[in-house]
Amino acid sequence: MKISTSKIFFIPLFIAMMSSCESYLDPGYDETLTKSDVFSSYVYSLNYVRTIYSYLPSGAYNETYMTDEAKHADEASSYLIMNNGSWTSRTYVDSWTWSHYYAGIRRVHIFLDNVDKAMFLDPNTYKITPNLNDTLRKQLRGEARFLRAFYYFELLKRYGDPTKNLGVPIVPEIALAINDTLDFARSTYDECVNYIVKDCDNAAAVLPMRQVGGDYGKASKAAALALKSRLLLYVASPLANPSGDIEKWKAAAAADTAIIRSLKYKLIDKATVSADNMLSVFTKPNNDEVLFSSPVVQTNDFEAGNLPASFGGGGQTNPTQELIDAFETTLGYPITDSKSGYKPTDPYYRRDKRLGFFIALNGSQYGVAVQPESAASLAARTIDSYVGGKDGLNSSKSATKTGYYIRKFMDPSADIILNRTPVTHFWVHFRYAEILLNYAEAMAEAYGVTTIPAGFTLSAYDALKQIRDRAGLATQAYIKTLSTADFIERVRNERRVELCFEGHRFWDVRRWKQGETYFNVPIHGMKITKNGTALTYEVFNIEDRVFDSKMYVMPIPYDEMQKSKLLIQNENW
Amino acid sequence: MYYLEKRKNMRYFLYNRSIYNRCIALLFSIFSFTVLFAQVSQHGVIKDNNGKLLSGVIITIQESTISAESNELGEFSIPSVSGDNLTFALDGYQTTSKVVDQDLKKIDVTMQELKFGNTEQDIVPIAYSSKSKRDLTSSISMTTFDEFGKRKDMNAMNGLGGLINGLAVMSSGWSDTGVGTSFLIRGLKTTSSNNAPLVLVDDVERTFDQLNANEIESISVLKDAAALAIYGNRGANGVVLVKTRRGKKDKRDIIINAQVGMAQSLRLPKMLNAYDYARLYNVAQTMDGVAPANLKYSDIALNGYKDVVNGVDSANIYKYPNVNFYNEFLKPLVKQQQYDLTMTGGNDIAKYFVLLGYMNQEGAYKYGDNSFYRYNYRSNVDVKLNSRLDVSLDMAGRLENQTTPGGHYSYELFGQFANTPSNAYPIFNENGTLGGTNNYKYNPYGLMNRTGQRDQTNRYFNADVHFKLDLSDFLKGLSWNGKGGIDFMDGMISQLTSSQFAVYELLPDSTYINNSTQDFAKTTNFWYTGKDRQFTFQTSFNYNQSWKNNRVNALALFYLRELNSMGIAVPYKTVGFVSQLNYAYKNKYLLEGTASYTGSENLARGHRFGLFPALSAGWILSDEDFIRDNCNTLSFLKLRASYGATGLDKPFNDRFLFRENWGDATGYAFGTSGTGRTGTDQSRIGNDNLKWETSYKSNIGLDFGFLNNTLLWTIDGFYDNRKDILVQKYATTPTMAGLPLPYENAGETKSWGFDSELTYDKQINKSLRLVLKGNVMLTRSKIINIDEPFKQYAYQYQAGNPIGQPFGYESNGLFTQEELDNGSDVVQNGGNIHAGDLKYVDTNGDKKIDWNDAKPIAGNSIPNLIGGLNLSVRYKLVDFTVQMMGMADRYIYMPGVYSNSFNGEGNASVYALQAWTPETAGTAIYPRLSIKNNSNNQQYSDFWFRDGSFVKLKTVEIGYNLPSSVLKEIGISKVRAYVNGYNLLSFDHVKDFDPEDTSAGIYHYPMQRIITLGMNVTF
Repeated sequence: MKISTSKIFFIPLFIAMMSSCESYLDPGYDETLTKSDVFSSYVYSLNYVRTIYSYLPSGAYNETYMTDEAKHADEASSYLIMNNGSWTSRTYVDSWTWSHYYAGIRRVHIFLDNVDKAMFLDPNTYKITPNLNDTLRKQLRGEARFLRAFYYFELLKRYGDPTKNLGVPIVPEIALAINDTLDFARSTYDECVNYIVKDCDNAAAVLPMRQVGGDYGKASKAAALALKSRLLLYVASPLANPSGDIEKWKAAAAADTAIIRSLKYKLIDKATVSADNMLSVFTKPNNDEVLFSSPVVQTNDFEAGNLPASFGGGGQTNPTQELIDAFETTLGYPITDSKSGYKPTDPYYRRDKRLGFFIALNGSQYGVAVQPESAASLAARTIDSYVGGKDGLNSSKSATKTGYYIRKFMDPSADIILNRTPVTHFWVHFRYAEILLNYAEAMAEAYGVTTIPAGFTLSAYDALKQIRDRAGLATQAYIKTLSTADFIERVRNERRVELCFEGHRFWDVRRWKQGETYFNVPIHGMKITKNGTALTYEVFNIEDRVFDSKMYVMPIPYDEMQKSKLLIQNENW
Repeated sequence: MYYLEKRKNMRYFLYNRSIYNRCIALLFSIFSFTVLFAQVSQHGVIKDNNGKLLSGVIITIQESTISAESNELGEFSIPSVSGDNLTFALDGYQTTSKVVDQDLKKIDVTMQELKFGNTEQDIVPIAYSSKSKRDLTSSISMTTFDEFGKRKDMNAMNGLGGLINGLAVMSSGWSDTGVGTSFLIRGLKTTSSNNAPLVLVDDVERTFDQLNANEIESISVLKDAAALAIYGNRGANGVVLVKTRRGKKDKRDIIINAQVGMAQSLRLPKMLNAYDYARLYNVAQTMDGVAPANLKYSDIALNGYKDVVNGVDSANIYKYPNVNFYNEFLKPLVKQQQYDLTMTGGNDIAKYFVLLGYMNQEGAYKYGDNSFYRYNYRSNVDVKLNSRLDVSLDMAGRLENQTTPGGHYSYELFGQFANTPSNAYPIFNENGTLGGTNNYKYNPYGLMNRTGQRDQTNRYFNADVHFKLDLSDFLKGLSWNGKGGIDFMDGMISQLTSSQFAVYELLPDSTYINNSTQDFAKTTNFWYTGKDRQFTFQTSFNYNQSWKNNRVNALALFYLRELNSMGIAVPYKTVGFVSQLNYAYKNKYLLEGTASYTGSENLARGHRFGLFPALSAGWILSDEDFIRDNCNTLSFLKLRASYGATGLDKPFNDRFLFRENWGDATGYAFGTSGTGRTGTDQSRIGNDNLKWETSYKSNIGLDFGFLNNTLLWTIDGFYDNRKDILVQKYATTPTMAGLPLPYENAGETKSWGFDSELTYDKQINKSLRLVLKGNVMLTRSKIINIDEPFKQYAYQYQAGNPIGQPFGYESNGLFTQEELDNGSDVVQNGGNIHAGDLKYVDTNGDKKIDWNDAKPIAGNSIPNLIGGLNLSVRYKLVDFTVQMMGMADRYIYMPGVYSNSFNGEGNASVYALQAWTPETAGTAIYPRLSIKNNSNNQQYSDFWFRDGSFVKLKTVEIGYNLPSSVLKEIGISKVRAYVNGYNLLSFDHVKDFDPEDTSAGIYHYPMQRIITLGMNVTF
């Protein structure tokens, strides 16, 4: 009896206590941020934009070790398996790209979802004006879409198989939550291409042709068009276009014209590129040639990794003889041509200047000359890659395995031994030279060597000539008369030389369907023997390389295949 | 080895001769008093509570050798003086004491028949109260001061190994202030990082490692659901309950305890001497393929080192240094002392316990200011304000201070000792400058003397007020309790340090180079390491009532805890509602139900409160006629069973895992300068449904009492099922959504085993009492489900293996030259294999050793089998205690300094002497030496695991009680002098490092052996 009365008394008391305890336990003050905090603050919103950008690659430089451009000096390097044919879907070195770019894409979607909630201040007056907000939002949306296009392209070029019309999954344009379906099937290759093109076009429509000042480094119209150009070039190339559909080449060529006709970009004049290694293209921010690059950093990591050991570096990148042989002589002929004047006994004599710019040859100098320079300091700056020299073949663990070191991108003022000065670096994603080469290739495929159809300003030949002129290379008249096929071979070689180490070769050889030709043959080095002052040169075999037809497309990472029920693996992986 | 230790002990006595001599002198002088006092006989009759005359009762006078026995009529006679304390003991009866009063001619004594559970020692602390062992239906084990008080470790946690049934103490040597020791109750239980039990001092979350042992009454360990459900979302890993001492009625004591100990570092790593280092370095180089002409040490150098090592007079110790860093920089013995004053007493109105303690320990380093001291204070006072209201006021505080040389933690100094080769540099060069090379520039002498010092102080204070109101007027048997407590803690460091000092290296041309080191000026820094405050509140209604055969005990309790820590914006909060109902029928059928409803700030609204029920039952079989009539030797038998749930709401240090979180992230720079690259990103996705881990615990136990309960045996079997363990399902969620994954309650583990405890306590005859206690626990665990990616081979899954199972290669001996010549068809990981390198088993048979061959190897360093044995003998005035502890079924990974000789030109231990060379191929134990990083031999494999089982002789104590007849004249009631040895011996499989703590002496202070002389004086 008694119990029931006390019950009646206690139940409401208990409920009251319960509810007050719930609020007692609420963590009132909160040092963490929520999504609405972020997008109600213009500072955080703009910082979020920076995060979306941060998924961009910091250069595709490492891909050079997986091509016939160079060998990695470290025998324990993880790139080794990429050349001996033993890699699998578990060991593909760039497997990380799958989750990385999808993470970037998610952030684009979150941003597009929320950008309308964010208010942006005028960066000069710190005021909110509706007009400005609209403009800014429109531009930011454009930048985000460009980034999404970029990320999808990075996925598509790796994992997409154009021969089977298999692309990568295009995920819903929302911020997916844990309770959503998180597994997606692959879209078709064509769907992916259209998706990326649409994003590029949308971005190009709202972005300025060239970003300058504080906005330098943001996506521009040129960047969006350059991405489209590269994508369409890939789409038109033999791997994706086995039937040789000429319309695809026309589309690729057309993508470049807007950039070319804008006149906002040009090749840096050969007079103003530093006499050394075309360095200003790669180290002077906001130069006329770069359309889009990774952000500017002060670092000497690249020098520390790649200078020869006697300069205090890691000697990591060793260019192959195959790459050296691709440079023409100054007369404008390939070295295989008897008219080139090439002498195997003095192989570097009167070669395309870019050879000296991009490759550290025996006898060339690193670093900045001191005036007047003592013999000792000059000797210290000089590369001795002959056998027995201070940076000679196999003279130490990090010494060159090919007889060459890299020079491209290397800032001579980055003295890493004495004062370890950092220098300015950024990695170029798109530069005008590539646009010209894309254009030359597509134009030649679509219209032939010299044709300038209506709406175009340059012929394939004109574009190619600009590159060769800048390099100080004679462009002999015979080139104009070459058959389209032969001309295209010269464009391809020009591309190989001009864009070496910039992350193109791995994909160019694949899209040309020339993997068996270039990546399934041994690479070579140069053994230089010094006898008194006389040097003798001997090409030697370094290692066999293995390329299998399945390697035209990359395998979807093994773990992802295990996790997904819908993904289809690429053939033979 | 034994001889050496003896010699060291001798050295200790010599070192400390003055103290030793003084003690001896005191003992002798007191002896000579004993015969001087006249005595008269005291007579009396002894009965039990039913009036039966008791014969054979042993009557002793405390602190004397005098004793007597009662005859068949229950009569006794014993020579005594007024004030003597007589003790009456008989098997089956509660030991009783009486004070002799000369005015009374005769003493009549009534002895209570002993039933299991009705003595004071049988009261077991449980959550928020205490209970008789007899009524207990849950699984709880405990230790009291008699046992842990004998462990002369300054860290109260360290000293508990082997004392409490079911508790594993993972001692991590003596790091600076004893941090690093952790507890595990009944083994590993979850794959999340928090396996630590909840530690409560007087029912409040507090640490007790720095409490003075003299202020602790008991330490109990709560193990099963019946005992833990009351703690709700904090109880899943078990609870360690520490009770501090309180005053007792009619017992007034002032006790002074003084002890002085000498501590000695145990098992210091053994490094190669300079000659062996240089010689074996050359051997290693040779095996790496270095040509004889290019070896690092020339014959001249080798001979130079040889002469130095052999102590040849002409040897050049500057050019060929041979430094044993441990000998040079550690004192062979350090002094530790402790002085305590405790006062207890009480009457019907008030009771008190007061402690003042001081402890001081010398630092082990020979140079620089280094020491540790601690003051403890406590006063626990209970006052009866009126017939209904009791109030307790407890206050405790402590002050700890540690001084260390430079800004250096012990790992930095010990790291130098362990990793610097003997021949790296002389401590001092010939010109008096400090030695050092480019690779080894942190000369410990410089670290200790030239980089200043650090002074760390921790202050702690807590106060609890407890009200108890008798509400019998309202309802008979009802009472109300209210308790509030506050804790303050702060820690601060002030240091005066410089970051660098100059060292000089002797070059071959006899000049010195200082390798761009220089003496920097010292700067002063001060900062707080902590500023915490905690508030706790408990209120409860208790109801106790019995009628006829029924007894009911009910509890309804609410508690709240709030902890504010320095640098943490949101305080830690816990709130709980608890109800518990005990019912006993005929005092032999016991039933207990518990339900707690607890929540914390760590989970989302609507998900933060959980209900944790438990049910337990006990049946006292020995009270049933069929047992009582048939088994004479069986004096007690109880069967217990419990089942219930308890939780763990903070499995990680990270808080608010349910909540999405955004913050600064890697960004991207715009513009041409490259500055301003902070981004913002979502670092965590929320999961509002996240909840605590839940442990479903079953326990079944038997308590036996034999031979009038002189022999007690308890055995418990347990089975735990931990569900809802937090995992992030990265391994099974496709990453195309690109989202960071939230935590989910998806993991599951099981653990099971038994623990058992045996106590034998008997007054064997008039002068001999024997107490033997032993405990043993065996545990097993198994991962049922954690988020694991698809594995190619079944043996790669963690599921199915014990929690913490290491995965690595199985080694299969060393390669012989012959095998290599014949060509091994298995490609070893790391390539470039030489004779003498480790060979691994190709688990999957693909002719290639790679990570796919890694499989479960050896086992965890958490023991599956632990045990303790405590023997205590009292003969007349002498008492003697031996305590041992052991761990088994555990594996330890060899410390790097042993397994990785010469790596990167680093140091090498004496194990290098047993490494493979072409000459010693037949007898070598360890793989070939190499100067290069020999990755093949350093793979994580079973080769470097050792059986970590050990038995340690933890304590031996011999005490002598001065006869009371002497003491009374000078107003002292009791004096006990004792010698205590702590960490005396270890029996194990690794002779060169400590199996209990493998990095002792390499990353922190080594284990210490302590010989203590002490005296207790009771007034």
